[in-house]
Amino acid sequence: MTNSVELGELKLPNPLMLASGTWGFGETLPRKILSSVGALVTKGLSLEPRTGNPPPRLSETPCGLVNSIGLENPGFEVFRNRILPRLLALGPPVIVNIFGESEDDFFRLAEGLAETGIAGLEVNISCPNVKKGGIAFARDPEGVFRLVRGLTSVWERFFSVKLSPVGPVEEVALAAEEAGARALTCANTYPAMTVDLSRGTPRLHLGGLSGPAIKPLTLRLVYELSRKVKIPIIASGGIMSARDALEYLSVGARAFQVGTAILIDPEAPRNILSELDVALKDR
Amino acid sequence: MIGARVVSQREVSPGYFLLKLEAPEIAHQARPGQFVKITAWEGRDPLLPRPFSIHEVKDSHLWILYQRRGLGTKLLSKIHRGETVWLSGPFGRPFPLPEEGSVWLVAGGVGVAPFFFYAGVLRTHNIPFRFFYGARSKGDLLRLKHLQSLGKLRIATEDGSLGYQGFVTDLIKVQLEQEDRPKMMVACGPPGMLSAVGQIGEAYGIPTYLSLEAFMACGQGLCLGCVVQRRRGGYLRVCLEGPAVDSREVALDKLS
Ligand SMILES: Cc1cc2nc3c(=O)[nH]c(=O)nc-3n(C[C@H](O)[C@H](O)[C@H](O)COP(=O)(O)OP(=O)(O)OC[C@H]3O[C@@H](n4cnc5c(N)ncnc54)[C@H](O)[C@@H]3O)c2cc1C
Ligand SMILES: Cc1cc2nc3c(=O)[nH]c(=O)nc-3n(C[C@H](O)[C@H](O)[C@H](O)COP(=O)(O)O)c2cc1C
Ligand code: FES
Repeated sequence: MTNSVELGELKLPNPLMLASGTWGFGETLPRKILSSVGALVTKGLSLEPRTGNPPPRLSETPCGLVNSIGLENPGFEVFRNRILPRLLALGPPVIVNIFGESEDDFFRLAEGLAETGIAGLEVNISCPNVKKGGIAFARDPEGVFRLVRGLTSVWERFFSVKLSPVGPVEEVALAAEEAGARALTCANTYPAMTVDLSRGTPRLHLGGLSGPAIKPLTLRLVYELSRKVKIPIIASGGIMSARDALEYLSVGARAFQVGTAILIDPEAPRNILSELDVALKDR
Repeated sequence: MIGARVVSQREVSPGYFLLKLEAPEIAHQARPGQFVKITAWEGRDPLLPRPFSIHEVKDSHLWILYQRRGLGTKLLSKIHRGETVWLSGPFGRPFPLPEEGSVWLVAGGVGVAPFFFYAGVLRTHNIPFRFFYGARSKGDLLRLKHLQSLGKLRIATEDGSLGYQGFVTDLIKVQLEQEDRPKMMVACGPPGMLSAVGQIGEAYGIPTYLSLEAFMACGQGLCLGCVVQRRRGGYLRVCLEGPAVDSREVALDKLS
């Protein structure tokens, strides 16, 4: 296939990645779907297991999905021993999405993952930094610089910093690049909420909006950032079709992720890839 | 997702619809208690397919019995025979089949939907069962004639317009004192009813399975969105560990 892409030292068979948190750990998906993609980005991983948020965890809005899963995950030990070997056997490069409450959490995760055969890390900075009074890493460009610089001394291979689409995004992107990030994932979900009008109270308070509703917003962000940074940008936001992916690729993204679309139809990544093949041949 | 032809659709009672689809792959795999996801509209609004229990299966056909609630079910209710909807599944764990002894099926409202299929399968396995069905009023009882032909049925209506007057959970309490107790109960209906049936089952030492509902996105364990609280802590995914789960697994007071 001629579709392969290079993100610095990381070579992908094609530009489509499965986005973090939207394909479980692949347990229930047909192998042909998992092995056809360019890379597998895992559900956010923390050092310790997390049980996640109480229900309700999902709400629907016009053309969008609001989720408040609360980063439920089995923690580092279980992931490394019981889940990762199976993921690595699937074929595509595995990128592990990590998050923590402090810089140190990230460093320890990176160290723990160093000898496991994964292709890279994706660093989720949309989580709160407990030492900074709970303000998200993504709100603090200097904090991001320190975090990324620190990471480069324990992790020498590919890693992408996954930006939040809100906050001082451009400063954060530049700080991450300067500190040594190899790529940027643009972007996570948009902070959002929904209301239960029958009770007059929030249904989901600390939610994140994904899906087609956010595509024009993230598209704009990718376009702007691609003019500011030199490292590759991986687009993530509302990609449902090959057309959506091409829009992102044409405004500066080098690769892209499919998230919410998988929840609607797990065949979506394969459909997007085959449509993309046709479209790229036509050009 | 596969395209499934609509063989027929009719309003069986005001606001309640019976949809017959031609979907051989899914019909052949389906077991009672499982569900499918349906998209019956073009475009991305609503964004998510809607989950529905498999109401009945015969040969290459399957039926859905549903209530019109919001936009998704409204759009679904406007589909005509000959048109195509998008279907995926079957998802979820099937209802259990006891090795010996009888099962009581306890339904509330449109929660009766999965029990038609289940009753048919229980019958072919020669597993004795009794059917308890509660609704607000006589007019809210769905497909009653057909139900009566499936087996022993007891009705409860809150207004007393048919059968026992009161909740279906009160009716089963009365019956548990009067009859041979079942080996197992399976319940489907609103959360308050499920939690009451769970408590009754536990009080009488009868294994009880509750078919839960939760807002779902993927329906297949990918998003962790459809959870309910586990009694011993943590969460279980309704789409994967359920929809029907042993009541002792669930924090009954947290069902809502
Ligand atoms: C496993 C399962 C089996 C079901 N089986 C049946 C059935 O046999 N017959 C039947 O009438 N209904 C069934 N339901 C409920 C049915 O899915 C909802 O009524 C339907 O999704 C409502 O969609 P709407 O767009 O019309 O309403 P909306 O306006 O979207 O919502 C109306 C209500 O439905 C709930 N709802 C909306 N979307 C979903 C979703 N994606 N998942 C779960 N709940 C949702 C909302 O929380 C709200 O309470 C089942 C639900 C589940 C989870
Ligand atoms: C249910 C759900 C869970 C998610 N979990 C994570 C996560 O654990 N870590 C993360 O960085 N992003 C997470 N995301 C964000 C997605 O990876 C993706 O960036 C975002 O949804 C935008 O893309 P989309 O519109 O294609 O879904 C999650 C999204 C959804 C819908
Ligand atoms: S609906 Fe996604 S995990 Fe159950």
